[in-house]
Amino acid sequence: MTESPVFEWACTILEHGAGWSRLQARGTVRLVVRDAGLDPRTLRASQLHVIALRLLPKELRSRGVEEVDALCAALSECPGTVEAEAKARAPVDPEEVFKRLGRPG
Amino acid sequence: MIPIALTATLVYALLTGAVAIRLLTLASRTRELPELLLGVAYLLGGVLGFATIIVGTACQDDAPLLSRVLGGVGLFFFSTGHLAVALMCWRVFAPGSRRLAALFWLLAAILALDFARNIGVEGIPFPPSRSPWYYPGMLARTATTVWWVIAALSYHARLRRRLALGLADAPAANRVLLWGLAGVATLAGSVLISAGTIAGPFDLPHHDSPARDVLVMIAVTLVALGAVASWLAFLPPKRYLAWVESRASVAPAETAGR
Repeated sequence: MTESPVFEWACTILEHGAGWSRLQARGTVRLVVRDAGLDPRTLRASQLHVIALRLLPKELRSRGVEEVDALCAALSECPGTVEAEAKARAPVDPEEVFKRLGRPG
Repeated sequence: MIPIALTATLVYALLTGAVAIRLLTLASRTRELPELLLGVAYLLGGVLGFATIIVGTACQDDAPLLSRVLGGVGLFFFSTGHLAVALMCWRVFAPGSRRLAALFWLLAAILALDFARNIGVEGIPFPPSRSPWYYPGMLARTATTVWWVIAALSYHARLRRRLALGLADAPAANRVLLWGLAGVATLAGSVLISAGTIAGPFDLPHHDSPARDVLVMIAVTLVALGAVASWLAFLPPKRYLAWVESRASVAPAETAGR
């Protein structure tokens, strides 16, 4: 299974914004996404928003990236078209299944 | 000791039956696979399979033929219930995994062979542990329960990290944890029964094995505790849900304040 379009978009933005190699950008985003308990295959824009503002700044500063705040602000605003593609392609997250299993009625 | 085992069996049957009906009712409305599989697992592997096997074991000395018939029916229900759990773990937690697909089909083949061979050829649902045919079915059923525990608890560990960031639903995360704990209790009970069988007590007649009643009581109590966890997971009282949500609303605030 391939990674979510939101994950791919975030990697591209980081690759260009930080001047990193594709491998380095993907590795960093993958690490942060996993640290947040998320899956690169099902990553959604709302999740990237939280990660970009709360986890990525520390990671990027520790790697000597400049203008971290501007880069993270850009990463937190995933375009609607990318999110729509992620929504259409993403497999159902188990959390959604377990939400439904306890729904009253 | 017997009243404790009977009470635990009654608690187990009532709670598991209620959970099974709840999930199958939900499945009839949503037409979704996970609730259908869990409902089947609780109904066949839980209520019908487990109860039939318990009753069959209890009448082993007084009515051996009835005991064998009940054992055969129970084995079918029990193995089907275990496979439903394994299918749920594969399709919900890792639908794209070829390795887990292979594991599921391997377990299904072993349990089908176990049933066909033991019931069809020998008429014995559970061969004694000195027979090599005791082990394939026992190990395959244990493997499905181990899979259940690993899938639920490892996913819950991820949900805890999401909760700290406000990226997960607290009741859903608690439901995954309770379902995993139900798996732990079920695994502990089944390992105890298997160990008792291999060590001797369950292979001996009732009157020759005083340890058998103790093992049955402990195993039934464990699975009853698992049933309580399942009930809290899938039929939670409103007060329990409110407590889970109130704890979650405190936790992210604490995390953010660090």
